[in-house]
Amino acid sequence: MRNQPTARRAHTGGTPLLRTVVLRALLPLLLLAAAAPALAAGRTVGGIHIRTDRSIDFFSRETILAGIIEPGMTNEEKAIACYELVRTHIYHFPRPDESDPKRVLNVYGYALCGTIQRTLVWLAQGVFGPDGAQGAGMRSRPIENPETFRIAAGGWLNDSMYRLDGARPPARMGHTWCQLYYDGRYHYLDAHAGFFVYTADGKHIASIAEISGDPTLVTDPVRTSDPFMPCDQGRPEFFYRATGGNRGPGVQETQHSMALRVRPGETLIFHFDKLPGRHFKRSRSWRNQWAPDYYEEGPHLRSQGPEVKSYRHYGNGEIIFEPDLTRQGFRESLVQSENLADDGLPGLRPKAPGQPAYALFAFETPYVMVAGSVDATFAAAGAGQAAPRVTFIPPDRRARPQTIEAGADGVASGTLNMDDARYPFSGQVRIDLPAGSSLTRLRIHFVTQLNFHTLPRPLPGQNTVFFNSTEGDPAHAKLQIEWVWTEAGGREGHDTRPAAGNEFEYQLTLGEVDTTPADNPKYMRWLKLSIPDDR
Amino acid sequence: MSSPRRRRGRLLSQGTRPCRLTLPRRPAPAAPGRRSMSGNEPRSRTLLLYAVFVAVLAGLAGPGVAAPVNPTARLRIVETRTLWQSPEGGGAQRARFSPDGRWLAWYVSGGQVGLAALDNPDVITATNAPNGSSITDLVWSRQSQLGVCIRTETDAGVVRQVAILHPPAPRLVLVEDTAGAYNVAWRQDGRAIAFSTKTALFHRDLEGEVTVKLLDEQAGWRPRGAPAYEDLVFVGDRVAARAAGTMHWWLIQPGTPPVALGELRGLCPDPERDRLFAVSWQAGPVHIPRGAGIVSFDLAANPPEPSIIVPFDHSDGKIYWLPDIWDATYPTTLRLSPDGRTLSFCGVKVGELSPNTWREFCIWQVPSDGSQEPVPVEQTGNIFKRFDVGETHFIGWRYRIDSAIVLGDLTRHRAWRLPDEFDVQRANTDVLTDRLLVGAARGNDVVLIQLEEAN
Repeated sequence: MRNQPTARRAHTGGTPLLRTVVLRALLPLLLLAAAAPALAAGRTVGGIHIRTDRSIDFFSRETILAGIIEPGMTNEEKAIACYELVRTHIYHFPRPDESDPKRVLNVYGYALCGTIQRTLVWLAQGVFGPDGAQGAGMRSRPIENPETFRIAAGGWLNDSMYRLDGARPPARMGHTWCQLYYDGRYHYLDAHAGFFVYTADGKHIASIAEISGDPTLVTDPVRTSDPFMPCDQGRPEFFYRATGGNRGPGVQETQHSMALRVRPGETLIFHFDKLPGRHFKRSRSWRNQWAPDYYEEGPHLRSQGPEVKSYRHYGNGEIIFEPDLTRQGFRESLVQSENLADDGLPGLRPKAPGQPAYALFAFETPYVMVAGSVDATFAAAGAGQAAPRVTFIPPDRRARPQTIEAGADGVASGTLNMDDARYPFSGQVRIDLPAGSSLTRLRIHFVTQLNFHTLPRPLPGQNTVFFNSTEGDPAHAKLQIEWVWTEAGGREGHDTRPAAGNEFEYQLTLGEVDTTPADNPKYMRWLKLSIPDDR
Repeated sequence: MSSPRRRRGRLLSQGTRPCRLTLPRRPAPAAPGRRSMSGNEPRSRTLLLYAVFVAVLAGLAGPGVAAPVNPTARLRIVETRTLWQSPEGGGAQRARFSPDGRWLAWYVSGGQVGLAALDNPDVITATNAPNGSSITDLVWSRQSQLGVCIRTETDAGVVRQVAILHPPAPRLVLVEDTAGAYNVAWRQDGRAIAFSTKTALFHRDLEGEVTVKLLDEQAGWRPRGAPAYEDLVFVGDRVAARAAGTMHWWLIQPGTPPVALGELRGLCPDPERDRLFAVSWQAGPVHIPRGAGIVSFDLAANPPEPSIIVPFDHSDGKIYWLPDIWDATYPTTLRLSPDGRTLSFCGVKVGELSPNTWREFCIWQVPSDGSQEPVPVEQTGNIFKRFDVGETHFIGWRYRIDSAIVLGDLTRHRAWRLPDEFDVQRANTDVLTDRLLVGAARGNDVVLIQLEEAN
């Protein structure tokens, strides 16, 4: 492919469309082609999976279920275990704009009812099989007045309007739910609302048909979930006023991988908190449906008080790529280049001095990119040459590339707009080097969004940390694993150790912590993986 | 556990799993010595496979299969007799039998009131309402006088007024000083009425020809087009009225200050003993207001104090009752026996485990002094989705768990399944339960439907 820079283009459209489209189409192949030799001979470590013996492992459905399903459990206990996991790891907030269950759990940790029930279906299908969980929808009658609502004892529409401040329902408000099928019956467990009730004989969790057939199962329950509709404080009328319904979305699947990759000069940080700056994904589908102040703080659990809100909110991670351009480690992150010198001298330079060159770096993460910045320093090009520039190319064809040109001082520095980039999970950064120029320093920083409740988490006391990787040689790469936490009294805990191989485990002991309750993970500060670029 | 029942071509399990399996056709009888239609299996083997298949189906239905849901007694339609047919189509509503069982009344759009003597095929139609009129309420007194509220659009605006019809006289007699009346209630002796306008509640002494205002409208929201008070009940000389859009009842005696009774439903007066029974409107464990327990007001006390006849406190772990459960838009089933000693109501018992996955909806009886717990006198299965109550009966529609239309006799404490083709609306239907005779205004016609118990 030819990549001769053309005349100057629009600031955000620096790459010709055809070339961009072709590059994007070929990206997977290019990544494979570029990564294979690098992994074989380099220091990139891929397929990383870290877990602890005391926290649920959210790497896959199988690992999740291994953490919540115990031998000897009844089917009902298994169903409740799935329900509880979804209920306690996904709260109600609009909206990821994705329904992939692994992403919803690991990346967002919040969703609306349809996505929550899909996630429960996905999880439960891992226990009960593909026929064991089905979704459906139901609607309520529109009710025009709160007093009518109270007397008629029904109406999701009004209930929603009062609960969700500033809400403007896009249409007739409704609710989506699912039932789990086991022991020859359907059972209605609503992980969104925190709702299930038992049948009048107290023997099993009621189906939506049984609830509809006997509303006293809801109004005067024999036994309920605990907590029971914690967000609504008890307005479950719409469950027995249900209308509509269908067979649901069927088998839920995911192709998303939570495996990590670290390359020379790259650092991955997973914070058990959010970073300053309000870096979170703005729902595109609902952005006009909610009052601005609703979204002001970013996704968080709104309805259970400030204490719960303090640790039920979105989190952030970081990808910092800062290769030492005097060394050769950066080449493991290159997926394409043209006329790039490979003479071992410092910096990225055109091989043929009178011709321009470019280098294309690829980034990929299990977590969605919500912010980014580029900081590059170029040795000045000759007079009359185009300015060096850095271009971020999102994978979504609807998103335009974002270009930052170097100024007269040779510095190209700026932020990336991930809303414009449609919140990607991967992207390319292209360095354009006019004839006579060279890149002497590069720092690419992505902020990702994550659900820190699903990160591997050591608990106070002794923990075993398990490390697995499937690509590369972590010991040879000098991969480092760092945990940082805060113990009681504000004392900082710190553990950094080199990877001992592709599969190893080690003990990690944490002292007492001040944070409460037990599901508050804020005593942890971060998990960091890095490979130095020192060769 | 019995086998699944076949109903409308679908195999319905009595539980939660909505089976969509259809019973296979029974194999055609094969000639002796010949093979079945498939040509491969001897008949006996085919039947065996069929039996196994049915058994497997029953097994698939799983533990949700149970005995048929109550009631099991059935009615069938013996005869449907047309009393009246609309010349223009539509319009007939609100058929009501007179308390003496001699008359069936209904009204027709345009302001006509139809009247049929049950022992006479002729129909009397009172047509003297002004042109452009409509009827908004139709109520018999115990003395079989018919009170109606007429709404007429005139050049000066909408005019509303109470009128009375004395069968067999075919004339509506307008009652003076009842302007603005939306609804009407009779005093037990038939000598006074109460009515509500958009702004107030009034009492009209029909003999003294005096109208007095009892109570102004209450502040707050009410349904669009509703009068100030939607339900009116005479308790001796007093009038109890429910403020529109709420469950708040007021008790008013002409010349005395009104008394707020609280949030109630289904008031059942006992004027002879100066008592008033009602279903309390209570928020339950999950804060949903619904009919709960029964209280009795001693009207001799000032103010009237309620005492609990049927328990409704859900907070102490003891058994309590939910009369009628949850739909506040219909009158309740609460009924007092003529001797004043026994209350009847429909509802469910809560606070103990049921033998079924649902709570059994029953007709209950309880001493009116609350000296004993209620006892079930008829079981009617899981509660109805819609539940309409008349003076002596109820009709319930149930779509789940076991679809059924049920007629319940609150006087004799019986309940039956109605035939599937029984498609009348309760609001426009009345039943003489002792004769199993149904009067139904079905829009295009008014019919008498004779039912009888099926074997």
